[in-house]
Amino acid sequence: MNIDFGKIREIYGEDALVACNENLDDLVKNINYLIKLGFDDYEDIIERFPLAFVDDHEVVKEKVDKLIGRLGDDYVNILGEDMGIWEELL
Amino acid sequence: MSEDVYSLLAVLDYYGINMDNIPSIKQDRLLTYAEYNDMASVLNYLIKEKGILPKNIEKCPSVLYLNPRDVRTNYEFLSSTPLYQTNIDSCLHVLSCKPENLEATYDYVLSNYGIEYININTSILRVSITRINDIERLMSGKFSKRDILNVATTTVGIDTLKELIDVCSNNDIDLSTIIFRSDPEELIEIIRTCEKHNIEVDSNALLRSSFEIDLVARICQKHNVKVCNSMFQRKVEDVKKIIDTCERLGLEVYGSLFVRLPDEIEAIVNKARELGIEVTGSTFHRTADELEELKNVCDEFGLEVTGTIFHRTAKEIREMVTTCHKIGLEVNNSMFQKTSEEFHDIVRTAMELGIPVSASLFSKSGSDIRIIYDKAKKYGLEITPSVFYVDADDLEDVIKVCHKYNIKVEGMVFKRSSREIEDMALFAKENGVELKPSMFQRTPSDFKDIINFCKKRNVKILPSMFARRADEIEEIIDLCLANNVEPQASVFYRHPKEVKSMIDLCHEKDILVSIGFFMKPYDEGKKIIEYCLENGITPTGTMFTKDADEVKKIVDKCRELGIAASGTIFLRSAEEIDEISKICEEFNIKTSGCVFGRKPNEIRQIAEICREKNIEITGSVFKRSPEEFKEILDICSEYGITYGPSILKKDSKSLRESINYVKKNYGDDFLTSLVVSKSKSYLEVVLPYLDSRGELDIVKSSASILSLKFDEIKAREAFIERIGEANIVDGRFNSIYGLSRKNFEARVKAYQDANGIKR
Repeated sequence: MNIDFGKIREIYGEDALVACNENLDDLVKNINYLIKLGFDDYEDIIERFPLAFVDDHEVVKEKVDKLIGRLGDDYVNILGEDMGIWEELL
Repeated sequence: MSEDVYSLLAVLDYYGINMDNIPSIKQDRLLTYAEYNDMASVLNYLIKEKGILPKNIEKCPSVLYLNPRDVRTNYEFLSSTPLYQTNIDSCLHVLSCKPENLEATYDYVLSNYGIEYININTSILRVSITRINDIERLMSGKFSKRDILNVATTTVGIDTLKELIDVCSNNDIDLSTIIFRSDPEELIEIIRTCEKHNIEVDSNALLRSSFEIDLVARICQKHNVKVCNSMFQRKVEDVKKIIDTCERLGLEVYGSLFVRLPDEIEAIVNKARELGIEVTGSTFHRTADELEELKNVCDEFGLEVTGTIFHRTAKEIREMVTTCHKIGLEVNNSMFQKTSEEFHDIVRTAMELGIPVSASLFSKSGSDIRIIYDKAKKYGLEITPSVFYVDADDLEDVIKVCHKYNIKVEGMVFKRSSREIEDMALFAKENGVELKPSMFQRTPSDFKDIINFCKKRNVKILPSMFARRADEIEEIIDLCLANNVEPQASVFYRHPKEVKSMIDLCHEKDILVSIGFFMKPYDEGKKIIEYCLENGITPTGTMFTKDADEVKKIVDKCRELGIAASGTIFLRSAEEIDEISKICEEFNIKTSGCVFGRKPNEIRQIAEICREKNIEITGSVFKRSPEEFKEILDICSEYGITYGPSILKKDSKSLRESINYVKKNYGDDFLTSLVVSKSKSYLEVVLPYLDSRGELDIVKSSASILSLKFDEIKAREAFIERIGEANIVDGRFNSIYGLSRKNFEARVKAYQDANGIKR
């Protein structure tokens, strides 16, 4: 795992890093879930939308399942082409 | 016995002076030179009027016959000065000076050294200013003030002193040892013999001739025993007997044995074994008879008969423990380093100064404590227990060095001398290490070893590492690295053996090692892990914020309530979990992990706010305290921003900064959660840039570009231009901005390959 926390700090500020740190257990679980779903560019997802993934794992899982359910089987490619869709989690 | 001597003995006896406590040579002088009336007058004044203890006079009997008629004048003079009374009363020989000489020396030392130096070495008052000046001429600039005054107090002549200083300097020997040997040639012989046998030249070694030292070294070599300097307190034949006795009794040869004669050692060992006391080096501080009394008093007060306890008699222990109970002070073994009198002096001093009696005080005397207290106050330092670790002499230099290197003058820094602090600060600077107060727990050597080892292993240097010795840290780090465990804070709380045991346990139970497992001692951690596994629960780090009994209660409570026992739930007690469960039922809240991050009353407050504001209660609302949550909601209401998870993760201060910036420069239309959730510093760069390109309005409907760093935006913009596409397509940013990093890199590569462009 090689998340660029410097990028998160630059875009979202120090308080976002604090949020990551305070919710590390959930963040790790959510990352593992993204990996399980086949997102090998999970670092990019977390760096761009960290605040969506520092939430409770059950809550995030429910949102992600809902999103990819709507997108269909090709969700990995669709999201890879348009990362802005992840904003729905926010 | 003559009538005169009989009369002197009678009056001495009357005032409680025990002649057996006075060395025979001093007894002879006392009985030869003392005049009955003068002596009686001094005894009456000092003991009856001034309450001085007879044993203080036994230490300095010369006060009874050397210039006795000036004793009263000198005593009254010294009592009128800021000198501590205990120092005057325990250094009575200075009262034998001529008053004018005493006053002159006092004034001189006070002006040139300070009252603290007179308190530390009150005997200096009997030394003439001429002698002090002679010593200063020889030693100033190369030796400390304390050394100068210590040497001035000796009777060593100036010429001899010059030779001795050379010998000590050339052989790196503490100058204070010269008070034991004043013949330079003899000193050189001793040094040579010690060097030959790798023996430290200290005050013990200087008690014996070089020939004796050589003999002792050979005896030790023959019996395969390490030479310890305390052996030199005994004659050679006694050393041999003691070693033979130890071999016969199956005893290790401790340095402290040599305060005793061979017969005494055997009696002590037999008695200790009879009483069930473990025989260690310190046991020999007491005689066999004293051991039995000691055991009885320790049993009475529930004290373990070990360590520093042996430094005290049963009577002293009783006195000290009784005082502790009277003043509500917890008994700790560091107290027994001091005699009962010293202990009571320390306690009295602490109570007078209004400072808590802590372990650090027992490394000092009452007068040292006062000196440190006064100096600390003078320099505006907070009076904490740790400040009393410092050497009173060195406090000013410690402060100077700390200021020089921007080190906070507090905590563990007082455990190190100014020289050590400077050494460590320089090393830290050379190695790019930020100094933290906890690092000063370690000696400079250990400190450097830890840093060097971390650099060698490419491991981040953490303040918690300095709670352990360098060899322990090395062992822990190697264990962690070999087992894929990140060497972080809590692992250094544990001894290497515990770390290994925990790692082995995790392997045995086939569970991932979590750094949180090291928050508890191994035995406690083992109970937690085993209980969790028995109940089908994966052990996690947060469980180790509780002890095993609490974990069991929580697990049982979760089972009862049908809640998953994991993660943040272990931040709460079983009772709190029960209360939270009821609140969740009342407000129809899903009992997820986030909920248990808050206390019951906080959950209720947040739930009530959500109900009032008609906000759906999801896990994320509990990420902030009720006050912060309300503040963020108020900010959102004030600016008409849609509340969402991205906003709740921000702190109110930075959120307000971003909102104010956007509102002031771009207006209310841009106050959306996706914009204001970005940092102000980021918005200050990106928004003006997009504005300069006339593309800012697009952000209102297509804000995902703001999830890229400014450099990334520029890089993608450059690529879009290269491939001849428009930055804005159908009122939205080009889809290139929406590509994942991997896809963008693939697009760039494909373009370069297609156009024969080398990367």
